[in-house]
Formats: sequence, C-alpha cells, structure tokens
Amino acid sequence: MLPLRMAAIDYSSGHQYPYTQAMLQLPMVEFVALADADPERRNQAEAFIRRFGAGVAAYEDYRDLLARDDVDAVVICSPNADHHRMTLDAARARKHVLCDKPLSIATAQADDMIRECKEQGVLLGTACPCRFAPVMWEMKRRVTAGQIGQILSLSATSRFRSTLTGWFIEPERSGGGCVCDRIVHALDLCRWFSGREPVEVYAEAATLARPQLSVEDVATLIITFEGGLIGTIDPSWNRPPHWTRCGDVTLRILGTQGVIEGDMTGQAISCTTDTTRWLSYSESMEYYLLKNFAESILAGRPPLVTGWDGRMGVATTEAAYESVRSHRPEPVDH
Amino acid sequence: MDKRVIICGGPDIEARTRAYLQLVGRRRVSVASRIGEFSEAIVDVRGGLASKRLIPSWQRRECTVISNGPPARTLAQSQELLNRGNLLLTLPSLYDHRYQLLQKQVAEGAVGDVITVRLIRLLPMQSPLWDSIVLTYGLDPLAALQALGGSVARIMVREQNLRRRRSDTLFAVGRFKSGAIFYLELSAAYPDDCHSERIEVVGTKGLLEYNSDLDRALRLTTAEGSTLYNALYEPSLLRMLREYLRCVDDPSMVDEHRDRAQTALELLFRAIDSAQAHEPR
Repeated sequence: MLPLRMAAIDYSSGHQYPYTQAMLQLPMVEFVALADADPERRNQAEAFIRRFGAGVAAYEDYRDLLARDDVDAVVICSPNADHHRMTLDAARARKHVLCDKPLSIATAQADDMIRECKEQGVLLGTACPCRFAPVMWEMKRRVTAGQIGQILSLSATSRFRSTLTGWFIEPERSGGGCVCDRIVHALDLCRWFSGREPVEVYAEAATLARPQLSVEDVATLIITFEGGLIGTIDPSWNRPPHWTRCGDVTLRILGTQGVIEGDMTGQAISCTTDTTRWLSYSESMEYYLLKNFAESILAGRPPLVTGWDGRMGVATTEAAYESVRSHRPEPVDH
Repeated sequence: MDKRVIICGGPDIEARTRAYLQLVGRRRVSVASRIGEFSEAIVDVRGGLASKRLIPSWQRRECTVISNGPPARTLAQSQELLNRGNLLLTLPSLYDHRYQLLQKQVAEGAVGDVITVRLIRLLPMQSPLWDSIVLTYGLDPLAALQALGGSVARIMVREQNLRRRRSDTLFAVGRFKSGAIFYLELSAAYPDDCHSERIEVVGTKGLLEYNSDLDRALRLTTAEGSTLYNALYEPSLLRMLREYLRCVDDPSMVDEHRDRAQTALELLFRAIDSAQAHEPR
C-alpha cells in the first residue's frame, strides 16, 4: 500500500507539534510539507522536524502547499477563526482535512465545512484527541462492558492554566475564551460515552482569573442531553500558572451499578463497584488520533471524531454563550 | 443547663446519639421511638418535614429544637419558626475544621480574590432520603458554599431521581454577588462504599482543594508552592452540638445562628424554586 502523504498547515496552536510527530512516526504516513505564514514559527517547526532526522518543504502560503499534487491530507492547527477558510480551501484542493478543535467559531461555518468536504469527496476529522487518551479508552471499554450499568449522569472538567496568550485571548481570532477553547474536549467525551446529543445548555461565565482579558476565563455549564441525561462541564482557565499539569480533563460517570472516574492528564482511572482499582498510562493521544485519521482515509471510512462531532462542539459552545447572555437554559442547534 | 435531650425522627441517629452522650452524659439522653409532645427538653429532630410538624408545639412547650434540614415546607413558615428564637438548624459544615480552614485561608487572602468554588458531595445509596435531595441534604452544603464565596446572586438547579424514588441528585451552577462562579453537585445515588467530599476554591493567586478520596489534607497551591494542612479533626457534628448546647444556656447566642440559618434557608428555597421553574433564581 502506498503511504498516505500528509502535510501540516499552521503551527499557531501547539497541538500541531504532537500531530507532526505522529505524522513522522506512523508507518503508513509520509510527512511531505508544512506551511506557516510566520517565519519564526516556520523555522521552529522545521527545527522540530529535523530532530527526527527528517526534512520537508516549508511554505509561507498554505495555498502553495495545497497546490501540490502529492499531498493527500492536511492537519490544520491555525487560530480558530481561520479553520473555516483553510478547511474550505483544502477540501476544494481535494485534500482530506483533520482540523484542530474547535472545528470553527460558528455552527454555520461548521456546517459549511462538513458540506464542502462531502461535496469534494474528502474526509473531515476534528482533532479532538481526548477519546484517544488511553485512560478514556479503558473507561470506554469498561462502560461498554457494562461494569457500571446504564449511564445516569456525567460530571466533567476540562480546565487549563490561566496563562494562555496570543490569539487564544483575542476574541476575533479565537471566537471566545475558555468556553470556546475547552468545553469541546469534555463535551466530546460526554457524547462519546453516552451516545446522546446535547439538547440544552445553561452556562455561567466570567472574566475573573485575569480581569484584563477580553474573553471569559472561568465558566461552568449544565448540559441536558437527549433523554434528559445531565452532564456538567467546568472549562475554566483557572489552574494556577505553576500548575504541574498541562491541563485537566476529568470525567466521572455514575451508572446504575457503579461509578467510574478517569483523570486523563493524571492518567488514572478509579472504578468503584465492589472494589476500587487504579490504572496508569503514558501514551500519546495525538498519535492515536492521527493514526485513526490516516487509517480511516486509507480504508475509506469516517474517522472516530468526525466533522459532525466537531460541529456539535461548536453548536454547544454557541448555546453556552447565548445562555451566558440570557441567563436562561438555551437549546443546542442540531 | 440541665434539660434532657430527646433525639427523634427516624433511623441513622447513631452519630448524634454518640455526640450527645459525650456532651451531656447518658442520664440526660433519650431516643424517642416516635414523634410526640415533648416539654422542657432539647429536641433533636431528624427526618422529613412530617417529622417536624410538631416543632411549633415543642417551641410553645419551652423546648429548644435542633432541626436537621428546613423546619417547614416554605421559606415564610421556616422563618416564622426561626424567629421564635428557640430553633437551631443543623449546619455541621460551618463547624467543620476543613471548612473553617478554608474560610480562614480565604479570609487571609491566601488565594487572592475568589473566582470559582466547587463543592461536590457524593453519598451512598443507603443514605436516608426523607424528602427530595435538596430538602434532605441541601441546607448544609448551601450554607457551606456561602461561607466560602459569600452571598449568592443567582442559582440554577437541576434535580433528578437517578436511582431512587425521590430526587436523589442535584446539580447547581451560579454566581456569588462577588461575581465568582460556583458549582455544587450533591447526590445520594452513589455506590455503597462511596462517600466523597471534594471542595475546591480557586482565587487569583492560588488554589485550595480538599478531596476526601485522596487524603485528609487541605492543599493550598500558590506561586510559593504547595502546603498541606491537616484537615482531620474533631467531628463537625460534635463541635456543632457543643455550640448549640451553649445556646440553650445563653439564648442571646442564638441570634448569630439564626442569621446564618436564615441565609441558608433563603438559598435552599431559591434552589427548590429554580429546580421547579427550570430557570435560575
């Protein structure tokens, strides 16, 4: 089988580095090019790639990269506001697209992206990697095996340090603050575990950790899923700057026969039924996400985290922002 | 103070019986098999609102009543009973060493201005559920929440009966008047050996956290590093009842408790209202 030829577009988000590393390491992938408009970031990316003994073509304009015939798929990790434009350009160049989370800054944009990719016959995946964290796999395996029975409620956190700078805190480029940036991870897990779509959101959000920001940095949501299932998410950027972990993604699921709780960044699972067990892992979720995306293209099937999955994250984010404004529960656009 | 103590209102009274025995001695403590007309006693009533129907009568008969949970079905009725002066509501978290440590650290500015408070209390399925989860167990965590973050400007509550006939789980999100955001999760639907208390107060300068599943220490994390405080201390119920017994001797002390009870009751009934209206209150 010929390798899948992949390229990286934009290193504005640090997420591009683990994806680049995965592209360099996966046997079925040939990493052929990168693009970034910023010369410093481009140089950093090239230096990173050289550490793996590789060298690739580097472009200032991503459209030059898209013009190459020998690129099958691209990974886009630009500021959120650029996801829409870059994905449409890539799809029209007949490249499969793995787009960083959040898929876009508006549900209508996400719908556009899904439609264009479908029309062009290319796959659209959302780079929302938490499903690929081994802790979450193991939780999923246990839940699917019925260890906790039917799911009754979900309580999640998806927090981060109060240190984000650059485009993350510029609303016109990011689309918002912590709500936009973080709920997609926890929501994706809640949807994946429950198999249910969110139908309504109540949210509180404020700018308190760093009052000088022009986006919100603390928030909490109550989400009602289909069938009345309730999930809660804390997406705050409120971890202290010297917090020992990069972020914090946790999920506690109460079932009819037990409770299971996973700490993705702490890499531990606690499952309580009759006994309690702790398990530890140390593998890269980005590697497995990229692997799944590449395998999906080669097999001609949808990736595990599709454009629709990313789109629901955007739609729920929009409903959350509307709830913050209205102080009422707001419906999620399906 | 030599009033006898009568404990009534249902099962699950071992802890308070032990506390009273320790505080006033065996000769003055009795457990009533059913609710009745008591006079000139300290009546500790546990259970649902049905168990509390005689509170007005006990008050008229010179009893001091210690009520676990709200004393009546509405805020107005509860306030009226409180204003009679010889009614105390059980709010053990306010006497809990962990919460007092947290409050002290917050008051001393250890974490800067408070920006988020999370309080999660997960109880096992066997926990008694006299009424809804909010009526049975809501008063104390709501009081604790306010002790940590101040007055509440807005609260949105979702109640669910996940595993029991009555509503057994509550999710609440809201804002303090300071602007800080809070999250409260309270459930009596967890497996038999789950009894978990998690508290997190995040401020502009650091983080205070307690997780009974991990250890018994309160952890303060700031730019200077992490500090652990011993949070295991005398049981909060014992500390609270000792204080309440002093109120029997000195009725003027009741005023302070009444204010805190009023504040907690107001928030409790707003929470109930929010859950029913499906809107914040």
